[in-house]
Amino acid sequence: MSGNRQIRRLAQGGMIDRAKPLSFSFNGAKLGGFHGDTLASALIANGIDVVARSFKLHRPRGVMTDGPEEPNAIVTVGTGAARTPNLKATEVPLTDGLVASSQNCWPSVDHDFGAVAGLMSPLLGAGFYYKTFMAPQGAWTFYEKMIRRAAGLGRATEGLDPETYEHRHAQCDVLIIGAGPAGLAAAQRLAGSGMRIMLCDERRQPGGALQTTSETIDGAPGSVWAHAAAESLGSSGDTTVLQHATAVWLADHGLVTIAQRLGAGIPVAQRLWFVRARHIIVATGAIERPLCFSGNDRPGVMLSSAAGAYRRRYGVAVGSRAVVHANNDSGYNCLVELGAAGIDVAAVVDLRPAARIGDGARERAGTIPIHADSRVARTSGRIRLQHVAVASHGEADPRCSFDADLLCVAGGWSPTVHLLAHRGTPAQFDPDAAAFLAQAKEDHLELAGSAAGITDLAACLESGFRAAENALAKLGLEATARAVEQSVVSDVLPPGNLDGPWCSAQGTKRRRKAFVDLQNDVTAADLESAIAEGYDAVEHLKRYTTNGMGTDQGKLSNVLAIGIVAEITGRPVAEIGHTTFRPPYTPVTFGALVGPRIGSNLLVTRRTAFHDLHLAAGAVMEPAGAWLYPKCYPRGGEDIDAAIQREVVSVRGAVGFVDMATLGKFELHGPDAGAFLDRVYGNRLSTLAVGRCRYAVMLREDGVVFDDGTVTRMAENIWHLTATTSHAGSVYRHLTRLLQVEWPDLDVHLIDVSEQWAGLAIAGPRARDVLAQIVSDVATGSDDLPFMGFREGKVGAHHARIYRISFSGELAYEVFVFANAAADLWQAVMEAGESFDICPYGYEALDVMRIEKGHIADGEIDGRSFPGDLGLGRMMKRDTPFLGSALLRHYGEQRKRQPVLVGLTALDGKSRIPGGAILIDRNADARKPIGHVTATIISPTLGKPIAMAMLDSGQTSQSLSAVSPAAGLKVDVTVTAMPFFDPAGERMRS
Amino acid sequence: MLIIPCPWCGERDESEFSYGGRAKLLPPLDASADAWQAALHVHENPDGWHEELWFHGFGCNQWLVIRRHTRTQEIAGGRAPGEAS
Amino acid sequence: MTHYSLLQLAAEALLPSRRGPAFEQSELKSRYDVVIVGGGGHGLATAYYLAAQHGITNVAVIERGWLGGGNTGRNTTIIRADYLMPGNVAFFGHALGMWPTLSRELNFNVMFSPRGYLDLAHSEGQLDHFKRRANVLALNGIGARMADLDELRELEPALSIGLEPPIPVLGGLVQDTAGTARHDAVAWGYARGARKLGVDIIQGCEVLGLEIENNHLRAVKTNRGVVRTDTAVVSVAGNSSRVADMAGVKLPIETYPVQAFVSEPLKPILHRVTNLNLGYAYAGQTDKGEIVMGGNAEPMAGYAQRGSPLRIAELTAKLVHIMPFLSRARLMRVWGGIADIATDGSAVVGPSPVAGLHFNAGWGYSGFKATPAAGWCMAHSLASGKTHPLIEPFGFERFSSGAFLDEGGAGPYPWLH
Repeated sequence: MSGNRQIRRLAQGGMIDRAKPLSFSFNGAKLGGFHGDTLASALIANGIDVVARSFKLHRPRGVMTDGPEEPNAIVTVGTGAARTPNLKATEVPLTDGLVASSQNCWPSVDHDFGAVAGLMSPLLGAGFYYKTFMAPQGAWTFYEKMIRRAAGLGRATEGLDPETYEHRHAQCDVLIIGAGPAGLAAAQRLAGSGMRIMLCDERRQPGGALQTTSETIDGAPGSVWAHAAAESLGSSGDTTVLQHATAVWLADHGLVTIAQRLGAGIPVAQRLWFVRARHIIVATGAIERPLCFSGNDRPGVMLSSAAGAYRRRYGVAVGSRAVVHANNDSGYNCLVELGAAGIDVAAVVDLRPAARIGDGARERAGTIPIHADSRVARTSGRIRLQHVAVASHGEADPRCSFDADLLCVAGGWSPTVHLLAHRGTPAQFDPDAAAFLAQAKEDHLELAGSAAGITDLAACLESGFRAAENALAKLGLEATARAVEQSVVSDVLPPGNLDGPWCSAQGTKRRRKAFVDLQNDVTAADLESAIAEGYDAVEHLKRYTTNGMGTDQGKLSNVLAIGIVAEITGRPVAEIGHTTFRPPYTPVTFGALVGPRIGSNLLVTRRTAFHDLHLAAGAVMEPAGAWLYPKCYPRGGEDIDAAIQREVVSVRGAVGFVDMATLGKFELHGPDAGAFLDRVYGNRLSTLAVGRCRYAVMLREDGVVFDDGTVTRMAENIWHLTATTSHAGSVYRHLTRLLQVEWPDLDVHLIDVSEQWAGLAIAGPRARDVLAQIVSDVATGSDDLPFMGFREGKVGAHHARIYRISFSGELAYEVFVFANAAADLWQAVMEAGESFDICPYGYEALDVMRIEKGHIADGEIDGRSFPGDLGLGRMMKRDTPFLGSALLRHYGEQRKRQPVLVGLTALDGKSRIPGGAILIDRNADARKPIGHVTATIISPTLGKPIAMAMLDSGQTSQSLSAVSPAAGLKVDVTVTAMPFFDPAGERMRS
Repeated sequence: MLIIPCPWCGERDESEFSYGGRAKLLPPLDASADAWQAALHVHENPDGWHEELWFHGFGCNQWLVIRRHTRTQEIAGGRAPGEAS
Repeated sequence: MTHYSLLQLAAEALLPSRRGPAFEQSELKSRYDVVIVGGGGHGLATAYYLAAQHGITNVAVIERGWLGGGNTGRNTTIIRADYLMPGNVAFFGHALGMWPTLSRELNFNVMFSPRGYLDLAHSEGQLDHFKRRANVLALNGIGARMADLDELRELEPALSIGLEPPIPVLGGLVQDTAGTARHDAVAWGYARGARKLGVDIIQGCEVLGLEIENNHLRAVKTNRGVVRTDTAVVSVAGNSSRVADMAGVKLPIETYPVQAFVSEPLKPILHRVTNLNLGYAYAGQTDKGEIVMGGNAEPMAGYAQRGSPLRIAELTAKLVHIMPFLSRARLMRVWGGIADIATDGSAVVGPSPVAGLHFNAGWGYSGFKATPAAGWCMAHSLASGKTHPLIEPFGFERFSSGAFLDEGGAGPYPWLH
């Protein structure tokens, strides 16, 4: 049984389930642990000392903490597509069969070649790369390749992520972040108030620090009380308790993002909560700080609180013989736990003078010698700690040395202020607490417990109560202050007189081994040199040394660095301030951020009412914006080009039809509609007769063409307008804005009917024959329904709107029915057209035909063209002002460079004019663009290449070329009159 | 994402709305080119309270005016465009 | 001031006292030939080139916070020149050309890394538009080419790209000379260079007002005293309108928050900065291994240097679709900056209606890559009294003449650029 090898596992104790042994592997070795272990606790139990290598210097590192603050024990977990790099072993729940490995090392974590970097470390000090690799030019590109090879921690995962993530949106009245004593007390105080409460906690079990002490509440061990409290809250109905759920980001308007890891057996790996809370109580606890001394990164150095936590949570003894190094009384708390774990303590090395050490601490030490006014001068050992050398403060050389494989460090506490700091108000340094304390400046935020700098249990419960009462009051509920009912027994020592240097290492050589940021290998010497070079602003320091920029986000290193800077510069800590706390509090899996937005759920896909019919007709569908739209309908082995060509030929030769459902369609009702249209379109529309359509051009306020479409007067006061597919949404917003905001006095109602009507354009010389067969209650003769005419009638039993409008240049009718009658319309058209060999055509064929006709589309309406540029200048009203008219006129006079829309043909009559080509004068300056191609085809109708282009006005060059240097193409072209086909428009008027 | 008070629908998530810029009326159509240029290109760009337009496109299809603090993102209420602030 | 070299590095290793300050704080004098408001990359580059190219050294750079603390230190460090409009093409082409020699010129490694830029096209329309851009760039002697799907897969094997919805990729524009640089180093390098030549750099110095007489700038009032000068350059991205207010000048600019974010460090997997064109969504990998990502500005004007997690989630979804290797990686850090966006989306640079008061503003998302060239051109303009031709198109006049530089054709609505 692999459990036998768990040499550091205690015979009893811990919150693990010893009835559920688990096996796992680390760097290929089969190891054992128990349900309830983290990967870190299991590794320690198995006697694994070196878990990882550091980022820059590849120094061997062990587990330092028991939480998200872990800077060292970064590993890869899983295999294949389910492999996850860069996980903190302290945050990975142990599961059966788990496969973990070290990263950033070669060939192995115990013998890492990269450690030669350590020999160079004096050269690789802060900012070294800013000062070298500069010569010769391009040198950096060369060196960078090597540096890049060494970059990164874990390897990214290949293949599709097999796991599922979900999002959940929730609302509550009060969100409590942290289920430690303060958070639980707040929740209990709120229970029964009628408020909807949410309580979240990053660990799998509630209790926070209560899990790591011998404190009791109401006679029960703290963790037992916490369990019972959370359970009763969770079952009360108005409270949701989320465990293993870390609040990572406090955003605007009470939006809190919570990343929840779900247990084995649940098909969803993680759930990302977006909670809107009316009030938020932040009870996120505090994180112990390490101390900065020479050799403080050696495996075997651990936070004093973590050393205790490993016994209480996991039944693990983190060493055999220990030295405790502290600058405050709370460091003595671990002595009890170490004793209980059977770990001998050789000495307590206290940075403070004897007089500053509290009586409680002395009592706790008992017979263990206290070396006051002393520092750990260095540590040694083969890899793991074996000896701790201790020196007096003032003296350089060690006074004595202890054999120890564990060095517990206690540098005071940093309240977890990150979430509140996300709100933009910096935390303020409180010299008495030796900590940055958050400022809850906003009305909906409340701070409680040790996150607020409170250090004893009873006061934490009390502050939870007060926070809850404040929340109630702010939510408008009467809340009288209630005394805490719980009786508390605590023997936990508060920090007392925290004192001593932020960095005790003396001399550059020692300070080069005194680590501040263990993950990024930033030392006290680095901070010193950065300051010497003028990078003394705290943000400069961070950026120059990379302190606090690792995956632990500086949870251990930030405050320490600030303290050391204060010490070096002689400025008060408060004046130096802290760097900005960036969300998220702990890293969040990108897959969890993606959530359900994968595959077809990623973007909205719009399908027209004819979608299934397109598929049945063999369409190649293509996304166009949000729409899925038929590109063409290849038949029996045709390629795309052949299909498009055939469709064009069919339409020009007989008849075809195309889906028009994506057009924006709006109805205007009201007596002022005509006046409104005259204001929003450049050409005149109010004079349109009932039953007639007109092409219309809409401008932006600045006179640039915004969109084009048709306007139809369906009745005296009922109008219908269309917008291009790509502008349907923006035209609607534009028109509603004008009606609601700018001209509310106009008696006009605008209705978006885009979704309501589905239509087909039937086009070709036989279009009338088809129309006549499918419609009833309406005359279809050329005089009855003339070009640009509109009639209503019936298709089968369905009401239909028939517009004789042509984009293709053929005799054409756009027939619209209610969207739910789309299939009937399609069927009717197909049947009526059968004898003409009718075929559906796609938007490629439509595009070809509109280019043959010189009609403008998105390529020409590019948000920069004025009406005159597109040959629409003469349509614009001269006598009446309209939206855009003032600036249209002004810029028309001012603009130096004015392009005009022209038609092009290839000089040789056969070369395709390249798409995106630039026009040049090949006999003049061949590098000077004088225009560009906007649309290009080989016209099946004309049998030759043609294109539309914007050419600088006044260009009369007879030696134009369309060049595409990117594609290595050049085609000589000539300007041709447009339309290319049927210039007189006889076909559409026939 | 903000919570936007729609005068017709109540408080709704920002994702239902689209931003429409400052709530300043356009000049009359017959105003001078200078007036139009100023309307489009001269911006107060305040660091503080800002009256602005939003369109409730995934809601009631109405434009509304809100008063928002551009630094704190606080919103001091919403109103219909025609109403006095 | 010491010259940086491998030898100096070795000397520093042996004798830490050999490290000297890169840029020490100066005392503010009462009179300068030129006062540069804003100690970001642009301001510092302007100061450096004034001194280095034109011998004008009686110059102060005043900075309210710390050098490079604005958008210089918050951007995603992309350097490219893939514009379409003539003024932008010429300026950014020149700007790109200045980067390869910058480290040597400054004797400070700004780590310019021409690792390439990839712009993915998702529709035939975009593809045509990209071809046009590539052609314009090529005609102007700025390297850019089109790559088809097969080549894209070869260039970036970790991308998952194909013709299938929801994000079809039809091809892309490749700029091999584009890349990234270390943003902070640009500010520090220029600061060190300018200081070496005698420019005064004063951090923690905030402008409180401008003294203007008969429409001429006379002095800049700061929290450290009044400085007399006839010439000032305002280079304060994100706060341009505020300083303009002090002169009674109204800018065609609105300010918008922009977010960016990075993953935990990964072994190299993404070579080029890669951009999706569904809105913007881009990613590149730093030398440290972090994947840096960004996208469009927040949709509403503002000065809060933060945005919404939901927007990050939306961006991430698009990026992960194309870069599936990100799914199991983790978001490490999100930050925000505020960008000044002009009504046509391009920069606003040049003399203002107040004589002697110049603006270098409105760079939106494009400021970082413009740093050397903007400084160069601005210094030239100040020294010669004539606007450098490369920045002429960015002048205030275009808002009345209609010579807009609207790359996206979005119109006079800053929030749409």
